[in-house]
Amino acid sequence: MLVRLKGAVVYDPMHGIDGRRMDLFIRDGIMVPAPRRDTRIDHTYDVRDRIVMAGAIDIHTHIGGGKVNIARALLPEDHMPYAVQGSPILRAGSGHAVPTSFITGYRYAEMGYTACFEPAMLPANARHAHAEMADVPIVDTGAYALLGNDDFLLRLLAGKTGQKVINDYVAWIVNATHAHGVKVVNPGGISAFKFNQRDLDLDVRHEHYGVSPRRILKALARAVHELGICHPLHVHGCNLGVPGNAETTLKTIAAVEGLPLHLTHVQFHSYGREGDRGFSSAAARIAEAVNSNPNISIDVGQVMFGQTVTASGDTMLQYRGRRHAHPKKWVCMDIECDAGCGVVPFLYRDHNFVNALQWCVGLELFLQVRDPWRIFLTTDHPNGAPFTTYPRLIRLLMDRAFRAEMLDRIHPEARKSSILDSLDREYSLAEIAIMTRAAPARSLGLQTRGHLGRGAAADITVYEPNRNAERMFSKPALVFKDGVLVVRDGKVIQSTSGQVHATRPAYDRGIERVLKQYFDRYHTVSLGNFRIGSDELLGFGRSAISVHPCVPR
Amino acid sequence: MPVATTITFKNVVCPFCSLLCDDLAVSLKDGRLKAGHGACPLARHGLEYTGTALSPHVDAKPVPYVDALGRAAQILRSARQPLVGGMGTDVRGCQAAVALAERCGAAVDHMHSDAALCNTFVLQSRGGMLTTLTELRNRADLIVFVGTDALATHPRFYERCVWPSSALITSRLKSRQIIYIGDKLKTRHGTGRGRRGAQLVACNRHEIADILGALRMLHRGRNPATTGIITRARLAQLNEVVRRLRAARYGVLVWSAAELDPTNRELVIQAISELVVALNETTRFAGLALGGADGGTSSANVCAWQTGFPGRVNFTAGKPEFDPELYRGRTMLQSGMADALLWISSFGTDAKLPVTQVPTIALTRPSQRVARSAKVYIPVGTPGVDHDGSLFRLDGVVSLPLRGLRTPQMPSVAHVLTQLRERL
Repeated sequence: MLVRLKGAVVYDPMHGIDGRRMDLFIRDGIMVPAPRRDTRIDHTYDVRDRIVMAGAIDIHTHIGGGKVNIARALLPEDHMPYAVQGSPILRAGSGHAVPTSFITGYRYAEMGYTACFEPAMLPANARHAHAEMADVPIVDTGAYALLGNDDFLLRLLAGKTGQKVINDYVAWIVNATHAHGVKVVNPGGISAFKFNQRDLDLDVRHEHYGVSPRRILKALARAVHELGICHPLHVHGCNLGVPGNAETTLKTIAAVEGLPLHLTHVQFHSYGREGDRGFSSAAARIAEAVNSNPNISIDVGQVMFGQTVTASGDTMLQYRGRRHAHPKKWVCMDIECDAGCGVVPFLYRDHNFVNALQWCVGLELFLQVRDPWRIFLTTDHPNGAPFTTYPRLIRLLMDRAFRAEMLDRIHPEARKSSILDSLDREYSLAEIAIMTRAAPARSLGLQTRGHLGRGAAADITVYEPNRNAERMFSKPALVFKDGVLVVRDGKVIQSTSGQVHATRPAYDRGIERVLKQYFDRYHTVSLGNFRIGSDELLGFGRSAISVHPCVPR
Repeated sequence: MPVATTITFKNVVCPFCSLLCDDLAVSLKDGRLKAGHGACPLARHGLEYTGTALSPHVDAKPVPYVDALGRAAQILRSARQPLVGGMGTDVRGCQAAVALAERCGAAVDHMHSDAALCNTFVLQSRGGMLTTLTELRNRADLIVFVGTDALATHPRFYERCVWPSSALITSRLKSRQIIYIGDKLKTRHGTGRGRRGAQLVACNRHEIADILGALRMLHRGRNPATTGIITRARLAQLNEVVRRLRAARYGVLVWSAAELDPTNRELVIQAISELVVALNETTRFAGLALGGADGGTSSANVCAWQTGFPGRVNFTAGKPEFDPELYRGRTMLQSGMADALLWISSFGTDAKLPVTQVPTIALTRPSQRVARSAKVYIPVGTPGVDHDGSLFRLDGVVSLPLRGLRTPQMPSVAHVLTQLRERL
């Protein structure tokens, strides 16, 4: 089956294509070069003058697993008013900040997204996370295994075990949980909280294990690098949300000594403590550090005003944030000598100084980090805002007048203390295509996604050009997933099952003996049952496991 | 004639309580399972169960499977408000049940939801601080059992979690203390090998909330009035308990909603939650709710991610509606709101089929009794015995794979429900 998209205005940064008018061809779900003139074309979509990009990729979105589901159970008020009818082709569901699995997939597809990565998959909860994400239709999924607060690793580090064993362990976990990458959340801090330690800065020692977050961070960054996992260590640093935490963030960048690192939701880690209120933006300093360290990439975790819920592995900081819960209820959970989770509902208000400044900090980061290949568009869904706010966020980046208008509405002191007013930059369509498609695909090592060149999967979004970028990006004219037309005029017309993206770093089997002993002695699950089989994973309902190569270094 | 061989399975995950012990040995001979190492009475009973009535029935008469399926579809099609009850199945079965409910506009309610929802209500009103089994096993130096001794519902809880042979933090295991609050509790299990005995705060079930309230006041440095259950002698004992609570490095309060006084269990769980939160101001504490048998935790998780609510969801309007009072299965049947029942129970051996006038489709383990009483009876396999699957453990975080141990003679719940859905 050969399909043509005729007259597309293509933005494909991976191939340096910046708004070129051309025809695109899909054969059996794969992008192919223009065929010979006499080739029969089975179907042509006339997309003349329409803007065409690869399907968008969300590098950091909490869409599946324990904490998300706890958030749902905690918040019927997030679901009752937002119930969605099913149809002969679509499942029913509900939810605003934490939509149900089916609705999550439909809404992402309706915005032109075709792949989503769950950034905080607890190994102990991996089976659940994958089973739940298999119920997220259309989009591909992948997950980063959460490490750095598990007693096994902390014991290795406390025992001064060599890097080789740590690498083996990290690789084993990635294989056993079908992860695509590795994330660390508040290195050591989630564990320290279980020992009643209430804060942990980069160079403070964990009271029980005696290791510092710096040590954990370096060991994991090195492991990910040496194993050749494409996506760098995904870091949710120390002191999230704490005024003055920009210092820690800068030290974190320096700590890895040039190793690749992805700093996530950096907005929450870019705070100074200047001014009368002891809370200020340090976005300029962080952006400068990102600009001058090519080994660093970030995603922003933009705050957008409104009701949401924060769901994080960072129990230490979520416990501290419980006072701000809106509505007044929250959950903290210690999990399996593995990690934890904290769920705190939150209302971001534009008339609240702190919230308004958080909004500014995120935008300041977007506008001051120069290289769009190293900054990704996220709200840390649902922590900064639900992912459904992306089109509005894109407009804020592309439209300076709109930004100024919004800036006029926020808390005046926040406005005054931010330099946002003076930032003229407007993102181009090409830059948006980089930060939402090409760059995430490159960072994640997805060779056939995020672009429209020969051999790419036909994940394609077709937009009706509109001067209002929010309108344009919220309602694509057409979305194709692996060549199948799934969305027309911003509505899902057909539901499909996406793939699971995973990596399989190699490891020395000897680690299994050590792990088996550990599991037998301390765990409540045996090693064999902890691991998820490939058949089991596929049985959850994904169409395929897409394994991406590792190049050990 | 082939010689009957015995196959032995190791590291079998047991689906018959929500502890999901995964170290069982089970042997198979002539299609019969025999529970070996690690099997508690619940596991043995569940694994070795052999029911009769392997054939589907309609009106108490054996019929071919497709006929039973056709009759079931007919019942669901003609019902205005079907109820999918029981929900005793694994993750895939729950997914199929929700899909079916959505298709035919049914309500969904798990058989143990009266108890489980009390935990949900407290969570939805104030949240909580919780923990999981491996944390308790390795980290706790104080475990407080509130109104339960865990034995009836989780026979191996002590062996697997409370008194393991080793723990990551050895000192915590060595100094581990147990306190019981309630009556008729077997406190001797709270004594570890060569360790001091457990402390018992003896009180009636309905008095537990008052005891917890008093503990919280004492912890706050206030003296509760000595009236009713709080006598002077009692106060001295509670002061000692509070001293221990405050001295603990990691304490866990364990309860089982089903074993609390039904008239005030929400209050008790709320009091537990408040005490845990208060203690966390200076030290670390967390709660652990027992329960979740018959796929209860799986049903709650699947319902949450597919519908947005942990259960008692109705699809009659084509979209999920949550109303824990209105969509309580038993009430729907009694009030006549539900006019058809699809009952799912693939773990229990007594099937707990509700007595009702409305036409009933029963998917249960083989049972002559159910075959006789249900309008349509389709015997189903048990996940982890007859077919593969997965289940959530009581803590709601860990789920485990289940493996079929013998050639299935009956279809899985998911299989039947998917075929049924296709006929609607």
